[in-house]
Amino acid sequence: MLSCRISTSSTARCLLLATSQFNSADGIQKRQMGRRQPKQGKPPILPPSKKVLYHVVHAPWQKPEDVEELLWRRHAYNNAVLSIREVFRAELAQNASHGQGIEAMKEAEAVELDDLIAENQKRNEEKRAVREAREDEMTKETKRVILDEIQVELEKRNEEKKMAEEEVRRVIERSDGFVDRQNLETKILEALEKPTIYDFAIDRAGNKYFVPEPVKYQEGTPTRQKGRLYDQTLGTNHGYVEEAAKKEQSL
Amino acid sequence: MKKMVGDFFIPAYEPNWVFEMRKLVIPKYYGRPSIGLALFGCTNRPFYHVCVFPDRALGRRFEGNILEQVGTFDPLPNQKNEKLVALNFGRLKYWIGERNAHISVPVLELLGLSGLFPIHPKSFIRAKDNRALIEDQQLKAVAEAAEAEKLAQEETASGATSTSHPQ
Amino acid sequence: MLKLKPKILALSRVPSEIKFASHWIKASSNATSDNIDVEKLFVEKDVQNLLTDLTEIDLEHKVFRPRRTSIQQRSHFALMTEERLEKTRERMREEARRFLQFVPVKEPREESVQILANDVELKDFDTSKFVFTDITFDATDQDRTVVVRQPDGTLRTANPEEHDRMNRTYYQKPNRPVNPPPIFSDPHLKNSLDKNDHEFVLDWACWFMSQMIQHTKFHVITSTRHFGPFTFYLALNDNIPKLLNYFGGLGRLSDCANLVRLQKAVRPDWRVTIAQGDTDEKIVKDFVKQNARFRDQIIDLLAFINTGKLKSEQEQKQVGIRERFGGRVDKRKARITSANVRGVDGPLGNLSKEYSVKVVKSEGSGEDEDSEKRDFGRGKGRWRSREQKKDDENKE
Repeated sequence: MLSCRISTSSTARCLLLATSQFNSADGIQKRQMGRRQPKQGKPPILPPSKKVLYHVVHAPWQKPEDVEELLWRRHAYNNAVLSIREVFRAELAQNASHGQGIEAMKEAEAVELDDLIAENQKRNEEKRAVREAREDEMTKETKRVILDEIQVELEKRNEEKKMAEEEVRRVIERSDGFVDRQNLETKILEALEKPTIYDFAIDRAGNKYFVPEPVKYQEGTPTRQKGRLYDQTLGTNHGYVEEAAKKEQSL
Repeated sequence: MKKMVGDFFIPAYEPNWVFEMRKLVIPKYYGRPSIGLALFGCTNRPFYHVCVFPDRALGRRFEGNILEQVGTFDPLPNQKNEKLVALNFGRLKYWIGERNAHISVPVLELLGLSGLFPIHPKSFIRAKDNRALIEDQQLKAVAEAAEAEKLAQEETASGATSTSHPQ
Repeated sequence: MLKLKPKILALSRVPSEIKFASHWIKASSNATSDNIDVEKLFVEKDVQNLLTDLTEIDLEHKVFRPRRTSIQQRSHFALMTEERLEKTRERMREEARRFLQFVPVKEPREESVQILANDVELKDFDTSKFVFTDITFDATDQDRTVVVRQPDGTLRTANPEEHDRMNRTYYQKPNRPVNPPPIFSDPHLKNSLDKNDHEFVLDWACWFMSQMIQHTKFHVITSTRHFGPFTFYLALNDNIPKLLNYFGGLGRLSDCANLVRLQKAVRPDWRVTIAQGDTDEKIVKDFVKQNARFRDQIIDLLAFINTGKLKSEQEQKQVGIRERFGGRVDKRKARITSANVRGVDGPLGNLSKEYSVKVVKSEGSGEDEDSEKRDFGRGKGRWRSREQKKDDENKE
């Protein structure tokens, strides 16, 4: 047990030593950290000068009668202020209990806000109803107008369709003499037999002058053009003339 | 380790807690607020706000944290020779009654003049001094007038004598 | 000292219930006027209807005429269909009706003040008054407590002028200056009344009425929002003959009848009787017959009833028109063309004799066509005023 005590005391002493060493080391280090050069041009804070330090303000003395008067007045005044504080506190408490305090005001305001919101909601509902009725009416109107327009458009299209059909029918009627696959050969042969030539001049009377005279079948190599073909005078009978009058007669 | 004093904590002193002595408090709810005048004017134009300041025990560092402005005071009389004071009486009652605020003397004087509080003793003293001053001035003026009259009379008298003896 | 407090508290709800005989009824008017509630009478429905009828709506020359405002606006031109024009007109009429909403007739507030405390010991505590205003957030402008501590130590409630001033100082609102505008001080007031700017003055202060009756300048405020209250004031004071004469001179018999009806409605104990189904003409004739003492005040009306001639026909027309429009000929509407720009009718007026007017850009059909040709190009400035080169010179 004794040894035990010794050992504890020794350990304690050791610890103390250690702490003291540690503390001293710590302190030194801190001082080193704190010792800094003052900034250039910035003198350290100086104590107040002697003139300032030892200057004593002598307030003028109050008049003795003032002091005397102030004494009883202050006494009455302080008592009055104490009771006024009490009165105010009571008044605030009473207001709060009677529902005039700030809490009550907040509640009243909240209620008022709710009322206003409800009223606004109601008005919005009314307006919505009116608006919906109006919009219904407007949609109906619009629908009617659109339907009318569609009707008109449809009628117009039917008309156009009919006209187109009619036209197609007429064209089909006209197309008896048209060339198609069945009569292609015969038509070609026919055309070869009776070629139509548009290489002619025409005068006011409608006479057509074919120069050079058209030939059905080309024989040999085609002639080279000689001289100025357009120099030839019309009606000089070197070519073939188809007179208009004759043609009409023939038609 | 901690003791409750009033409604704020004072940490008990312990060597390791030295730096915790500065306990953070919310100035608004701490201690006893004080009502005073805060100078809000500019150069040559004083203008005061009647303000509620946090507890003075917090030090002057916290004077800037004004809790509430409960009025204004314009010490320069306007064109009609009136000094305008605006006071929010409802809030003043709260701070004075509910929060037991300390009120500075100038504000107490204003409150006394407004009729919310009894008139402050200093107002009476000031009134008395002013009256004495005015009386003094009047007396002086009367004395000067009398002096001037006397002089004038003497002058006229001497003038009369001089005219009577034109040598 | 504690007794003061309940007084202060009670102050916030001091009612101004005590009413004496109305301030609107002059002592000189002969009728008994002890128990007429003027404010109530003014808002009665039939009185309002009659007043609305009496206030004609003159859109072009009165309600929407160019006037001095702080907002700058440009006139707006639009091309509209016939239907839309009609709609716009209707809308403007609606707006005009809103503009012509009457200024309310109110009794002036009480001037008396309540003395709350009188501390003799506090005399000369300061050289100036102290005005204390309660700025509690739920106090309204009407029941706000304003007290004044005077240098002699008395504490009293503020009079209405101070109360108003404090309200305006601490709770500013647009168009409500703290100090009354200088137009109400005398030289300015007289000047503006000389210039027929009654409406401008009335817009500032709605309690101003008299002058007009003396000088019979009714045309200045017809078709303004002040005409209704003004007519009401006249009827209340039994002073309608001059206004009747004015209406008669313009040949507005129905308005005359309405005015007589108004007088009857305002003063039920009036001697003139009006039956239910009387026509306008009969009402007016009855009035004329029964009030022979006003004969020399209603010359124009008599002339109109007897001969059917208007005042303006009797006199020169020009004078009448100029008076109706307030003697102000709107010069801005005069069209300036190349023909009159150099003359006295142009923008320079009389100065045109001293200064010669130089027209830079001629109109389409001007007499100097050369300049027009030169201006054919789109260029500006120096490019335009350059020397015109000719082709011949270029070639050589």
